[in-house]
Amino acid sequence: MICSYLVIPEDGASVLVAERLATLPGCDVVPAENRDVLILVTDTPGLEEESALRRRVEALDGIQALLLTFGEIDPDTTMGDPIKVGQHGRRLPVLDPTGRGDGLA
Amino acid sequence: MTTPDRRAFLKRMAMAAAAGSAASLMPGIVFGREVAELTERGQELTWRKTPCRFCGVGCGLLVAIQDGRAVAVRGDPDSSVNRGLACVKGYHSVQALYGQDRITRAQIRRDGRLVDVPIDEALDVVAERLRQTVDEYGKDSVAMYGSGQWTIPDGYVASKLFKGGLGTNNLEANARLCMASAVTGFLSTFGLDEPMGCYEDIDNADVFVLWGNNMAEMHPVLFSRMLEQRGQRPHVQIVDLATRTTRTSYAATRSILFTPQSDLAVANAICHEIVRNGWVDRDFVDNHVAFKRGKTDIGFGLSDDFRFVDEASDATWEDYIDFLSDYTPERAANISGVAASDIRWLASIYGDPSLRVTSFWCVGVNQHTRGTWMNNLIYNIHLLVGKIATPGNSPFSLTGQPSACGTVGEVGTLTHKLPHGVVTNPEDRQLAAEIWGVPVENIPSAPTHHTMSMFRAMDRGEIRFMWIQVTNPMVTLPDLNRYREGAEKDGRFIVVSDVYPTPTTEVADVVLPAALWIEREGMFGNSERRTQHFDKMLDPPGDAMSDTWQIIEVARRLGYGDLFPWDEESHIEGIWTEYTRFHDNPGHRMAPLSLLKERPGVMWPFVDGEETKWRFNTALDPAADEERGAFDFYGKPDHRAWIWLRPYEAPPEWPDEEYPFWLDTGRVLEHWHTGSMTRRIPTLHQAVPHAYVEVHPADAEALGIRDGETARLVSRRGSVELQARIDYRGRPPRGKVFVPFFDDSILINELTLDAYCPISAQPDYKKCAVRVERIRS
Amino acid sequence: MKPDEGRFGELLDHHFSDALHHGPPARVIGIGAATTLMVALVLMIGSLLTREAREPEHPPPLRLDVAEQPMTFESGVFRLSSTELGVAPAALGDSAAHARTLEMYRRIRAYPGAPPRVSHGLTDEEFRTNRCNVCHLRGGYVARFGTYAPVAPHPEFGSCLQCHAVADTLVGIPLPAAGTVESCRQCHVDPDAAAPMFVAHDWVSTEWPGVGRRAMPESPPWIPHDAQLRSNCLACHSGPGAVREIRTDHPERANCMQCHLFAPEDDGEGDVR
Repeated sequence: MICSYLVIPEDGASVLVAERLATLPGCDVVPAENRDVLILVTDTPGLEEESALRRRVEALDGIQALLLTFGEIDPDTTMGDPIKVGQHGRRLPVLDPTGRGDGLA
Repeated sequence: MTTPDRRAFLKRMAMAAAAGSAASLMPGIVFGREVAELTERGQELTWRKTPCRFCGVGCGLLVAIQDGRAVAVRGDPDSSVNRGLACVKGYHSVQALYGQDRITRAQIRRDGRLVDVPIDEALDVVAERLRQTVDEYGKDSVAMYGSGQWTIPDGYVASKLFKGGLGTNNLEANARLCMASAVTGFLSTFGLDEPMGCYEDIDNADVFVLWGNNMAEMHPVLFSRMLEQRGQRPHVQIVDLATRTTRTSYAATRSILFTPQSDLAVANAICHEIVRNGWVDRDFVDNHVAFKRGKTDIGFGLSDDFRFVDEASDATWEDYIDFLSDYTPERAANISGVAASDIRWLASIYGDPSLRVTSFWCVGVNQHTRGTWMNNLIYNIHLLVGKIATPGNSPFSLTGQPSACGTVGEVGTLTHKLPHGVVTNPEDRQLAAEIWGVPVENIPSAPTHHTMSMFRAMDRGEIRFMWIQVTNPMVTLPDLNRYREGAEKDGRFIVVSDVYPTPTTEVADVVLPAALWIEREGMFGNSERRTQHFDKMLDPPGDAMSDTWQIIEVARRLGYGDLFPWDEESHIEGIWTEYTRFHDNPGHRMAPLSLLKERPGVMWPFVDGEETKWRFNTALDPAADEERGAFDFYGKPDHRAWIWLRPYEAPPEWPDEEYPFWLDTGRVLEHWHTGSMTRRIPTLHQAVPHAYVEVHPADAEALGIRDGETARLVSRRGSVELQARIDYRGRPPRGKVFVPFFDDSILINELTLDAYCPISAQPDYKKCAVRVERIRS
Repeated sequence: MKPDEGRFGELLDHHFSDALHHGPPARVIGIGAATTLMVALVLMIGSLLTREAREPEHPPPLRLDVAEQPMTFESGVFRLSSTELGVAPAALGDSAAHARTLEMYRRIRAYPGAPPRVSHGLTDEEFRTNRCNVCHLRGGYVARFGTYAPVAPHPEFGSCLQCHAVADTLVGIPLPAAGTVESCRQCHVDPDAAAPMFVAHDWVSTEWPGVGRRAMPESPPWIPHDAQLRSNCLACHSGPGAVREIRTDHPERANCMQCHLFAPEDDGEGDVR
């Protein structure tokens, strides 16, 4: 299964997060050159392994948010429909002092 | 099993999806080569950041480049100026690059006709004629006239060549016609140029007072920001104080009309009421304000031998009270036509300590024979009530051109200026000589000609060679007939660098094809001290060359190559590095080029990695001394801002029996200045294909003129025929007409008067007398 | 001419040398230094995964280097949903002869994503006063033109003519009485015919994005353009005022980006996004 994520590190943790992610199996990391944002591409045998890997990523220190941007299970290997973005994760409470939020906050 | 190819493809898709999402969230985000190649494959469309080419608001734009052409535009959401919004000019700006009559080859006039020549030949001729003219008539017989649309590097190399190399102060820019009064206003009140606040004042103010400023058309993005604030905070008020009813008036909370020139009386009457009602912030005034008197009855600069120097003398609070006693609301009402109750209401707005007030103005105040005074008077109001240099409390002078501040103000492309300070100051000359690597004696210590004086000197034959870049004076000069005839006289040699043919290229002896906007690298500086960099994104057509590089090529031919040692690839970086040495202090330090390339713009003073948003506020401005209290007006020797006792004085010309109408000129939303770019943009041209005269319906009826009919306007200096429009996009009061100046087939400046503010030398395009005639078919 | 300028350089330099020794003063106000808008954006675009351990704390606001940005993806949908617009699926019937088409949509835009020109006549008063939102805020049937008004995807902006040009020929043209619209030319004037180009030009934009592209058969189609100033999907994609080819058949589902992703940039279509 191939997935990609945008990883938003905590302040100043960009380099550290990139290094830690790179040590995980099946992870390719590309940091943005002008922002504190990383692209993470994961390559795992299937959904279960992907979920396990994601839990490992989530457990790393220094990550503020993880945004799934792509997920596709190879039809040759498994087991069901492609992941639909929006299926994972929870909505977080959003602190929006601007008052310009969308009403979901 | 999955093939390796299939897996690699999916990974590329995954990477591209992430990059795409990142770009949607954060336009301008850059990943490494690997991702760039991935996302560019089969795509070949990239978005690049640039400030807009047009007005002084300085909106950040993203331009889509595909196959070497600009194909689309959007507002840059990362730009704090416009936050993703633009206006109709910005959205269509890239189309200005593609008019079929772009000047792509250099031209030299032979037997009365401009003929194409190789650009090297044209540059040779420019250098040769310049040298010959200096040899024959002296160095003050040559001049350069640029613009607030010059990039910062353009202005810098022009100043270095003319002031440091050739040794003449004959360097001016068209910003003299649009913001010189703002500069002299800043300098006389604060001792330092450019606003103390920034656009974030809009997010914090409770009331906006627009002094003669049709922002809905002239600063549309800032106007939308104000409307947005009013939408979110319903108590916010927008007050339109103007001499005609415009889209701004219709959108404003309150619209107040005044008679041309009477803003001087209204402003003083507001101060009168503030004092009378005890709304003065005594602490602020006692600690941070000084009172000054200047000369009065100062003339209008109408004769060639006019000279004026203002002198400040000390005044007291009592002197000021005595001065204001002439400006009761009733007396101001008699002068201005504004109801005394409205003047009291305005005073109560400024005087209410619970309201944060931002005043905006632009050429309505600046193109004024008492423009400097009017700037002073608006500052007086804010200083009396201490509403200044804090978020939302801001007297805010807006500029019209994208780099009027960045190039003309900061680089100092005016006769009396240097990149730091003025030519009259030995230390400033010494600093310039050191940085430029020229003997200090090269830089003359006396200013020569301001713009009007320069064109008069050309008419008289004292100036024989003039190089004009990025501006179109044969449309924009007031009393145009005189100056066009002057430029066409024998023995005058005119070089024009431009992108399209204009009435100014018609009087040129040499035309140099210029690179336009994103066809070269450069920077602009907007109204809020924000420097904005843009890369070269496109190749200029034919032989077109940036204005900067044209000047460098000519300088090298004149033997000044040592002053311009940079190669074509890196000259902008070299220029920026050298130029910023002039401003390397906490009051004006500028961001490094690397940061300018990264961000949509950076405000100066940029100190210790921080932009300074409100100057003179000791909590926010690293150049201000905390020991002086909450504010430190460090531009002045006494560290105070100066309240000037500036009276109402009548204009030089006003309606009479023979010429019974005021004539006001200006711009429209869709066109930029003389229309040489925007008229080539289909959408904009079709919106306003021709200039027109706006007439009040009752005047039109009395004259027997119906909407759409042709009328003739006549002043003491000239006449034009044009379409009359009644209740079109604006409505002048009875006894006044308005004509936009973008249309070079209807040269309204043949009618305007070349009277100017004696302190700033900025002409008044807003007031002269005309007659309106019906043309019977 | 400028009485103070000669002196201020010297004073300034003196002052600065003092100021340098003081070090940077504390900054009291950090307006615009940080907002949490990014969090909202992240929420909008897709699913968010976070660490269990962080519950129930709020995530810290993201650091942004720009001031508050009013734009949020899809935000308009939630402010002005299909219910508010009165656009139930049943109301989606084609508004007969006058439905807007993609061709019309493209004709009044200089490039994909450009603000459209105003395509119909305006009274002088409408032209002066920017009252477009009377019809375009919520759409609905406009008897004067015999058709449905498209809904503005960014009704928070009120200075409409700032971005949407009106050909001079359309200002103050006599408008047909309700129910008498017989030909396009009663309301629409070809600006090219009325005001020929000042100078011919070589403008060429990019390809318009294709309609209905998707990752695989039956998957929800991609969003082929960016959402800047078009954050209310339903404004353009639902109701009888919408362009026929891009109307959704499920306007009751307001959380569009739950299923519809931005098109990947390497899908070979070369979109202006």
